[in-house]
Amino acid sequence: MSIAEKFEVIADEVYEKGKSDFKDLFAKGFTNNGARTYYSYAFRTASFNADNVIDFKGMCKPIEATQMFYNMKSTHLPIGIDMSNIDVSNQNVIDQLFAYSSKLLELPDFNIPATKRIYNTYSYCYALHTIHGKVRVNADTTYTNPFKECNALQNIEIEGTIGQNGFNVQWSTKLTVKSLLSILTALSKDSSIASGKSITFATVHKDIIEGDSQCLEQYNLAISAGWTIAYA
Amino acid sequence: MKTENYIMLKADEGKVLTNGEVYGKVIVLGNGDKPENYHEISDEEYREIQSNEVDPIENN
Repeated sequence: MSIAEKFEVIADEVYEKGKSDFKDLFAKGFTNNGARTYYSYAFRTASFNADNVIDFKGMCKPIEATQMFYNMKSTHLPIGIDMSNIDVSNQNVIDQLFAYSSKLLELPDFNIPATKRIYNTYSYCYALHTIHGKVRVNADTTYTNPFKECNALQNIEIEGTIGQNGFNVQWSTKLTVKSLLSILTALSKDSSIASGKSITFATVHKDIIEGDSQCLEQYNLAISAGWTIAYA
Repeated sequence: MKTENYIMLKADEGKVLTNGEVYGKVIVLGNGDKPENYHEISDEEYREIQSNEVDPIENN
């Protein structure tokens, strides 16, 4: 290796070290060394790409996260965020959390617990294909356009019980069988909860559900319990 | 072999079925739900209802 080439390698290393140090400094400052808890609107309209993603290394622990990633312009989100402590008594806490982040392809697992409602939380994420981790709900969780216009969504896993109206995946025509099974399994089979409730799938889901024995079993149980199934 | 019997409503061409809360081209009624709870609206009416839903980005 020539002296010039060696110098280039050293310069690259210094540059990368500086960039890494800057990211660490930013993460510490932005989170007040992990003490900050209010993150509503924190990354609204922000833009990250693969090269400048910030790793908060667990220091970012929101209690409030309304619109935290609303209308982000990037394909990537910051990582190392732990939402397990968000205030689930606050019904707005994940309203529009990722809404309109139209370039996002995947969501990392932020450990979001079951909340009172899912209000436009993932809506208008047109390119989103995978939600890593789980979408956690409970029988009281309410839904308003949770996945509206999520046209690319394929992979989603529900943990908990769906027990209210408004769960609607009609735009997500590419959902996998596994994802559909997860949704159908989550539908409450308790008739005192399910009676009079409805859920909306895409018309293309009908054949997929009816063609898979596990999906069909959960589907039949759900209808027997009282779920009306709409295909829009 | 077990056969399940459900009531399935199918909308006419260019129509959407609704009970005022849920909308679909096909509605499979849950146990206890009744066909008389549903009526048809046109596709245009359905699109209008959807577009009238609150658009969050316009409120911010």
